[in-house]
Amino acid sequence: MHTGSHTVIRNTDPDDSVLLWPLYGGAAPRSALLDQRREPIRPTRAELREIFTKTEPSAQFFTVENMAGELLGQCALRGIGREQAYAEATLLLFDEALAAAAPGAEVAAFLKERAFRRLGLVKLVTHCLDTEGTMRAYWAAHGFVPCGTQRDVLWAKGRWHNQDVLSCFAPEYA
Amino acid sequence: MPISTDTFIRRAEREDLDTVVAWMQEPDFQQFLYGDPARSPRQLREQIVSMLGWTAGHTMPGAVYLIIDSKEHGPIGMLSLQNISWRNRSCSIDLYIGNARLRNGIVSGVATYRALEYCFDELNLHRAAAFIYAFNAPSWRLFERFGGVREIVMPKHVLRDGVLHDGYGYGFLRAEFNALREKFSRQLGGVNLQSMIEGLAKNEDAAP
Repeated sequence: MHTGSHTVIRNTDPDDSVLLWPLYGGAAPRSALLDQRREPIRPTRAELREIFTKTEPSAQFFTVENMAGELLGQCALRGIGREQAYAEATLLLFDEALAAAAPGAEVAAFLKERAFRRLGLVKLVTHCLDTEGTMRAYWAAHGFVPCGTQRDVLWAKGRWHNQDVLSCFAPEYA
Repeated sequence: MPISTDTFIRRAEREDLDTVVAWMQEPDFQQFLYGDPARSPRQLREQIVSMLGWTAGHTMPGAVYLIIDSKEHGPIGMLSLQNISWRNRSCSIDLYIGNARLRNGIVSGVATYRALEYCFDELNLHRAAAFIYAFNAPSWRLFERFGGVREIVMPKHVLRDGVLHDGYGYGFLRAEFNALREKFSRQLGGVNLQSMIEGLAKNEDAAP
């Protein structure tokens, strides 16, 4: 458990699936909820519980709470591979306004510390759809640099969506 | 001058297994695409059998593995379309020419063209993507010649021999491929899926 000044960040428990499930069921497309094929993940509560029960080495999920124990959201490192030295960072918040505030900063610092110091990764990658301006600004504010835009990767809400790719290196590789 | 070629793509057969195993064990395959050199031949064989067993016969496969064949040279390479999304009508392309002598020049070009043609004309996809390492310049130059747009540049992305190399993400949209095909229709007059299939049918009819 990581206790900051504004957040407590801990491994996601299977029991969290009930409270976290609304994050996975929103109407707006979110890049954090796209799979490798860029198709939306819409798990049921039971499936979500199963995901959090598995201890796959390729994905780590963390529940984010405020100091009062209220659920703020979930961050994750996924796609952690054997043959590659990077992972994808994701953040889902019930209130995206918190991304630009202290809780958001603590999550970014936690993910970097976890990826670069504990897992020894070289870099983190993240994705933002063209509808996710708030999250794009969040990652950019925390050292993620644009790598380009993939065109027409997702069909949702009756139109094609582009997706920005951003990355952030461990200090010794920057 | 129109280009004509006897190169075509087809589903992999069991008889292709030894050839594909040999390609995937080549250092070049593991350098330019993927694979762990420590894998045993048995592991590799099992992986390939499962790959060939999936796919193209299914109505909506998640991946398609095809052999690039040639009347002149025999099987010359493999084409895999992975991460096929029927919702997004997209896929990612991996293409490997096993015969090193044929990697530069028209064979690679025709194989790439065939791959794109199959994606857009047969599978009715909207987008095809390819991720190519920066040190594999012949491949990314070829993709650029076919109108691929370098959408992303991932610095220090892949580790090979202790060195981190950049990776390039290319995207092809169907409309762009059609525009390119229109533009080069005269030069590419002999290279299309229809003529390939007609050629195969003609050969089968002629066979004793």
